[in-house]
Amino acid sequence: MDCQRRVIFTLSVCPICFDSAGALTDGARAGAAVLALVALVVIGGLARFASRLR
Amino acid sequence: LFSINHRIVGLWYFGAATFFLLVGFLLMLLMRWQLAWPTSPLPPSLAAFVGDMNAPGGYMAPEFYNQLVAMHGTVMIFLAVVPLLTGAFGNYLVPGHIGARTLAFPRLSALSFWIFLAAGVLMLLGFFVEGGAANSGWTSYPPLAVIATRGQSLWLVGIFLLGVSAMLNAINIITTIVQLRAPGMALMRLPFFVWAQLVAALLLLLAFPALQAAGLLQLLDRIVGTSFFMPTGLIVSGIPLEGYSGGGNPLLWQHLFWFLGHPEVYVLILPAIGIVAEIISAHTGRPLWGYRGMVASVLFLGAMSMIVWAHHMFLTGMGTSLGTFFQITTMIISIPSVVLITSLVLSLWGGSIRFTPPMLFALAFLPMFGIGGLSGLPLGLAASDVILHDTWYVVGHFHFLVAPGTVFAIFAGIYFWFPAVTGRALHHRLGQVHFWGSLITMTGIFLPMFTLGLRGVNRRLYDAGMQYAHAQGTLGIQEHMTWMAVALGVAQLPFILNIVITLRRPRRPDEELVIADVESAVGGGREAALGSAIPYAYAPRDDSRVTNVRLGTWLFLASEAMFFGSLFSAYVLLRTGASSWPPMDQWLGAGEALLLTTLLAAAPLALLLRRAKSLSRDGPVQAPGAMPLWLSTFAGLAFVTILWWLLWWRYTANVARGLHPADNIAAACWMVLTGALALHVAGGVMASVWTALAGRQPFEDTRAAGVARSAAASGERLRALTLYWLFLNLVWIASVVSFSL
Repeated sequence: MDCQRRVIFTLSVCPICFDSAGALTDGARAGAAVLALVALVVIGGLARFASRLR
Repeated sequence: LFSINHRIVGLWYFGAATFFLLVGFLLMLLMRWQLAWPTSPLPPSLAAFVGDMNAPGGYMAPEFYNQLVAMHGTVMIFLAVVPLLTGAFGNYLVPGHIGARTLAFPRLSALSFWIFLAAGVLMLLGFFVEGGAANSGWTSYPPLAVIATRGQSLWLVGIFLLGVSAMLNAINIITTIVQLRAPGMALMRLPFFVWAQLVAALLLLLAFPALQAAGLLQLLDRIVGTSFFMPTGLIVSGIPLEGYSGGGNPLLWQHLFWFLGHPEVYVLILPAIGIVAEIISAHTGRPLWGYRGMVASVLFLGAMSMIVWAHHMFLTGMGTSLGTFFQITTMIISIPSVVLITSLVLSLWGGSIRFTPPMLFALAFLPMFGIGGLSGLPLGLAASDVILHDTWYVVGHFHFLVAPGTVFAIFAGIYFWFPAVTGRALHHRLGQVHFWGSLITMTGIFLPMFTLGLRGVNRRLYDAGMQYAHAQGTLGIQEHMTWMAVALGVAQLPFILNIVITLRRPRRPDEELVIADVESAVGGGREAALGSAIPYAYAPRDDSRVTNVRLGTWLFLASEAMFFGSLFSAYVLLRTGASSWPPMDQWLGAGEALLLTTLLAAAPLALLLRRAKSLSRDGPVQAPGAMPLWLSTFAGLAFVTILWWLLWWRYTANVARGLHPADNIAAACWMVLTGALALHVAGGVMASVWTALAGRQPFEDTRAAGVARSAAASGERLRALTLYWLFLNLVWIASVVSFSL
């Protein structure tokens, strides 16, 4: 079983994000939250910069 | 030869990329010959040309066919179409379109061209090394690409250089558009062509680093023997593969590759839409219909194109959850494309249309792009992609977008701007012959590909599938497509003839006026392109509140962040898939980490303290002294030396413990992250030395303007350098912290 799981791990990124029940893993949640935060800051900065261009 | 005039660099780009376009076309003709008559030898002249090794007895070797496939795609995308759109049209036309006299960084545009040329030559040199050129497709999927012949290494170095070239060009184009717009050229008054160039440049800037990181990892796999992309227990042709410890993930490559690959197709198509929009507007005598919607669409397209990449990977067993996400984003991204095309079609409504050659090509672009785009929808849905994946259907789909799509837009652009560049208009009738010939033959080549694909014929069979029952009925179609490809070549003769005749004939009286203007613009020379002639080089622009240098630095760091981000995501993916991960103290003890962190932090701190001191002092601004720069230099040098020494010192012990990068994926990750960082620190050291030395004398163009300007300029350099050092500190801390977890 472990061997099989290892193969799936090696072949797909999916197990990083989803557990065997198909739910999001904690790591995926944390990663998504960090990414969303970074994206918000970047997009916010860009929007601020663009809005003052004339 | 070392001109930095944006028009001349644009023309160089045009010349080199057109040469590569021709090379790509010839590679295609060889492929087509093989597909049409797979059992017959090549004609003697062709066989002599490709050599006995590639075609023993005149019969094309399958290995050589694979090289043709890989290099045709590479040459056409990376060396021909993208450089034509962003390098030639971008460099030449963008400044004029926004009312600027030059690009923001004229030297960068020349540098980006020379790097591009070197990369192209390097890739093509592959044909002359043992085993021939790269033969793993333009996508270079591992594990096969990792164990491929030597040409693949040249391909990887070439693609890395192309990334550098694209980044330099993108920084230049974006900074020019943001900073050098003439007064009154508000963002929402920019020609749509400029918007398209802006978004394409942003995509290149942010997406290419992912492929550079991937290329670096694949090169390490090939040369050092690491296993970033090599899974455990790999069997090739029935024999277990030796020399690789495994633990890597071939899908990692696909993710990194397509993270560039998909935005890249928008780099291929957006500037083309920009050209077509301009020509349609000029030839209907009307402004574009729905300009604001088009601008919004092109921005939305650019952003969305970064999150659709895995629709190229539905067959990797990614599961339904991820698959659903990428199917939805893919369906969403088709909406702005349709908005763009609809706006262009509606722009025709009520216009007084003139059917000149550029307009014919621009009009034909619309349905061709439509066919290419709509045929992509079934590929974006996993259920139908499972059947169509890797068939000729895919080849038909993307060729409709790029060949009669983008290449038609390039032709349209050439006819349209030829008078502005040379002061002579191309012959209309010959242009029409060129257009109809190209339209009919291109359709004749690419339309049947859908049939082949729907019948299930695989796209990369070097014998066109003659061994398979289901492909038997399609062999005649292959022959037809080859004749059409030959006819397409013939259809380009009127075009070449047109250019030769037009350049040789005397100028008509109405053309004299144009050329006077062009010559005065091109003849500006070095002075006009450099220094004080460039606005906002050292003083911030009123609305953006930044100088060109500062914006350029931020863009460069954004690109760097994507590069290191890609390396980090590779590390995270590999670590999650690994069964065990050695603890941090195998590489670095706590004391050593502290020492290195302090040294690296000293580099920007020295500069920041100097800046704070100069700001607190009253009186006129003075050029900062070089002392802090030497301090940064010293700190950086010490960092690299100690890091290197520590790695070397541990090396012997770690090899004994099986922690050599070639044996252990964790060691490989540590090596590549710290190695890339060390190289960047070395770059920072060189930049510090250069700034310290250059700061000793005033700039060539600021002598007259006095000390204050010179101080402002070196202040800009210091600030750029400080930002760079701070960024490297972030990368270092992220590396140490994530490895300690």
